[in-house]
Formats: sequence, C-alpha cells, structure tokens
Amino acid sequence: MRNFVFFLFLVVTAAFLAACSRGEPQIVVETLQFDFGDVPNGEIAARDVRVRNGGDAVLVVEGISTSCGCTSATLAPMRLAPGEQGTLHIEYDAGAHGPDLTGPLVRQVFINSNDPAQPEVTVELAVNITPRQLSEGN
Amino acid sequence: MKRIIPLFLLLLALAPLASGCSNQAAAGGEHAYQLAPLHEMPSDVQNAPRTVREAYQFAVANPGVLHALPCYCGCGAMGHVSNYSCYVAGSDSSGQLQYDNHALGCQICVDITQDAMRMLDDGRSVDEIVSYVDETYSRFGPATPLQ
Repeated sequence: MRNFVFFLFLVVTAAFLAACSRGEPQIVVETLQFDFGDVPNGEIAARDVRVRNGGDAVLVVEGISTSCGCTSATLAPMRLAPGEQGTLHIEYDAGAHGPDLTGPLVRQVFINSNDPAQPEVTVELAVNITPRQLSEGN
Repeated sequence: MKRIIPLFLLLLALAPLASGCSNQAAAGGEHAYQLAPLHEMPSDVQNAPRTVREAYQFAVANPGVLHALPCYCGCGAMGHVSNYSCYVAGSDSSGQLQYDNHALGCQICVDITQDAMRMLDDGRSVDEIVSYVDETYSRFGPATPLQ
C-alpha cells in the first residue's frame, strides 16, 4: 500500500511538472547588424534578414517599427511555428532627408514579439550616403 | 481590546490601497516643464502615439530647450537647425505656428526630445542634456548646425 501511494505521488508530480513546463518561443535573427555600404542619395537599399523561431511554442511578432521614416521593415509571416523561418524585409531610402544629405548614418529596426527572454530585438543597419548620381541628360 | 483588533485589521487591509494611491499620484506628478495644449495641434499630431504627441507639446511650450539641442537623424540636410525644427517649421505673418510633420515619422527626433523631458524632470541642466544627446545620438548621423 505504501508503495502504491508513493507511485501515485510520483505520477501526480510528473503530471504537474509536465503541465508547468510549457514551451516558450525564441526569436532568432540571422544578423543584428549589417552595413549597406555606399548608397547614392536618392536610391533605395534593401536587404532580407531571416528570422527563425528557435523555441517550442508559436512565436508571435506583435509589431515592427524603425528609428526613422526613411527606413521601413516588414516581416512575413508574423506568426512562426517552432522551427519555422520568416523574412524580414528592410528598405532604406537614401533620399528621404533631401538631395543634399551625404555621409555615414545608422538606423534601427525594432522587432517586438512574445519571446519572454527578448521581447524587443534591435537590428541595426549602417549606410554611407554618397552624392546623387546625375542621370543622363542632366 | 475587542474593538481595537477589528479596527487594526481594517487599517491593515486598507494600507496597500493607500500606498497604491500614493504611487499613482507620484507617477502622475508635476513635471519640471510645461506642455502646450494638444487641441491646438494638427490632427496628425493629435492622433500620433503618446510619446510623439507629448514631444510636439513639449516643443511648442519649451522652444528654448529644443533650440539648444541638435538633432542627429540627418535632417540638417533638409534645412533643420535644431531638434526644434523637427516639430515647428516657423510661423506665418499672424504668428500662427507652422508645424513640421518630420517628427511624426522620426523616432530619433522624438527620442532626443523625450530624453530632454526626462532629464529636466531629473533636475538636469540644458548643458547637461546637450552633452548627453551628443554622446548618445552622434553615431546615428550628422548634427544639425544649431544656429
């Protein structure tokens, strides 16, 4: 009888622990920093960055924002099953601050998700804006 | 004695509520700066996220502070001369402010203003805020010329 009670106790404890240890999503971003290099003023530079769910629960990306109106970013899909991968498409408009801006800049993309360990991940991009290229006839 | 115990228990139960109220009062306490009325702002500003709305309100009510702060988003190339330019383009002949919508889409501009607001509340001087802004934001781009 005593063994049976002990066995029952183990079963209940195991079930309780299994119920408590629910999986968690984990956002894994291919790179947190990259450089577009030289981009002529007036042109748009773009890059795709892979975003993966390395956890064992569904990763829900709740929002994506950027540090500047000159930078846009979209992720598809916004919900990633465990092991699934999405594409973060980032575009930087080198002409957004007028035709005269040249030189090095840094911009940021913020990804907010339900990953409890990293609720916000920042991807940082560098760019060096060069003078506008004159088109033919100008 | 029998009457004191229930009274003591009642006070004990109310204590957390009272402390919660006092925390709320502190959180919504007075600022070291003024904010301009929101209803006088363009509808785009009124419908913007809270941090952006407050930054516009702060800019209009505290032009001296933002005239002293550079912006590092690269807007100097657009004719901006300070962080203030990201919010206000100037005024017309009747003195009516002409708003600039640049800060509606620029987190760097708004972050600089929000840092200024926070540091004023912390009792920091404008010179200290300028130093902080230079140190924190100069990596993002060139400074406005601060005329």
